[in-house]
Amino acid sequence: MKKYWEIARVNTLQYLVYRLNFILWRFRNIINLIFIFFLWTNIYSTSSKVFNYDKAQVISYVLVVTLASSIVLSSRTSDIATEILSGYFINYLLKPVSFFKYILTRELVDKLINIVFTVIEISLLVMIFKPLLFIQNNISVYPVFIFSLIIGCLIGFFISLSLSFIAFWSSEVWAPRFIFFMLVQMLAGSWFPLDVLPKTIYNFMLLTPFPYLIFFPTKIYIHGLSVDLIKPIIISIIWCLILFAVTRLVWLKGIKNYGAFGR
Amino acid sequence: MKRYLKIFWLLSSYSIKTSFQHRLGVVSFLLGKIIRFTVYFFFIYFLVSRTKLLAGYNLNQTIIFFLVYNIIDSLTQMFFREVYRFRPLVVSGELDHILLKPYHPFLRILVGGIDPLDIIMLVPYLIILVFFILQAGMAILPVNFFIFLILMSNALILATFFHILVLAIGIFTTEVDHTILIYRDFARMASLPTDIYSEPLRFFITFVIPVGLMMTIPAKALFGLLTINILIISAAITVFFGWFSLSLWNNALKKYQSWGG
Repeated sequence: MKKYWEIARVNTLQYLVYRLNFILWRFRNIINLIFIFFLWTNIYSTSSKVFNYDKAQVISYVLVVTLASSIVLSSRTSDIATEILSGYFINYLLKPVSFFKYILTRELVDKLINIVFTVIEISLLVMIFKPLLFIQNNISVYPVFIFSLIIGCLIGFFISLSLSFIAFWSSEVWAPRFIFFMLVQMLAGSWFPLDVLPKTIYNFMLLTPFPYLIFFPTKIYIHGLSVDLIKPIIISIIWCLILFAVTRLVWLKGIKNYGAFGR
Repeated sequence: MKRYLKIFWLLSSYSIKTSFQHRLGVVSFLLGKIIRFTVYFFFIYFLVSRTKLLAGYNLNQTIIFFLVYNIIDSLTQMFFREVYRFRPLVVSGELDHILLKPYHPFLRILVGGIDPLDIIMLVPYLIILVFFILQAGMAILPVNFFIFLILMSNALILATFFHILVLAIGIFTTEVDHTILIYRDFARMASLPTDIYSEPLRFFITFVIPVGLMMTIPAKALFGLLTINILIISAAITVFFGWFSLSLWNNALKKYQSWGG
């Protein structure tokens, strides 16, 4: 356990080595948040309710999605592809640490740092612009919200890891990841609540793993608990299991194929 | 000048050939770009068709703003893709070899890596722009169209200075990736009319980081909404921005120590 604490400590310090890089990365998040915040604020300048969401709900949606994205989508798994291609990956296999425990430690550190800074950024935005917010008063919603966030994290982790494992066979690793990010933007509800879409499209989207990354946890926070949630929760758990199996399979096949070239 | 054009042509043809070496990458990135555009387009269409207006602009006008942004953004990325690959040159010291060559380094580090995918994407953007202009039933006066073209050129000049600024910052700090993406994030803020922002943010992104001048103002020219003052201010800001970025670049070169080599 001690060595994983040490890995966590070293990984945290790594963020502080390139401080300018770190500051600029956080600054980008603020710019994006401001953009989407003002867009929605303007949409509600003429009507009090659009797509069955009032202004407070939509602004809260934007803020919770930002927080959920920072938890679910923040990941260091993309580095693994570079490490496989460069040959650096062999170090994980030779060192007396478990590769999966190592990357899980790295993931946790990354998510923790993201959560801390996103909370600070959102708080700053709220203090400056003082938007009307929707606060979920039903305490029983929070455990379900956290559970769905964990499922979202696992789904995101497995997809991202599988994409990195493509490097075992091909150097074309960035293009599939680029498509993945585009799909996340479209199907994960990053810009708008997916349930404002026509019913057929929305129901179809719920069959894919993407809404369970950030839209679904955010929806639980905004709309609270209902029986309608049971089916999507089951689908998200099934996706989680499928993606775990796929990632495991890709790993087992890939590691046999790995030649540690580049070293 | 003729020699420079010849070198530019050579570098561009090499860049296009290199890009098409990775066929799967070409298809995937193109697909990604199409998805991104479609999603964003659909999002705006969906949103503004419900609310009818965005900051006083109707659906067709909002989409024209968005398309003009896409055209300028694509042209910029098409020409200046090489800036995204600048950091390794600085940290490895490879930049020395470029600075020693008997032509201006911008030819290599600024415009030396044309991106063919953005050339491809320009075609649908232009077609959709013309479609929406026709659908909007806009009678564009020749003078407004002429001002539009001037402002589009001004936007490209401003974008050039932005990228020179990024190169200069890259030499000072070895940080390029986030700086260029910050520029793009700011530019994206102007993909919709900057009127959606409240002051002083609107002033900031129009005149201080002049992405509003680059992306929003040309579309306003098409609608005939500009005054002569804005044109004069645009020109003045471009001149100032050019002076600032070139001074910074010259300063950066003086500080450059080829530490990586």
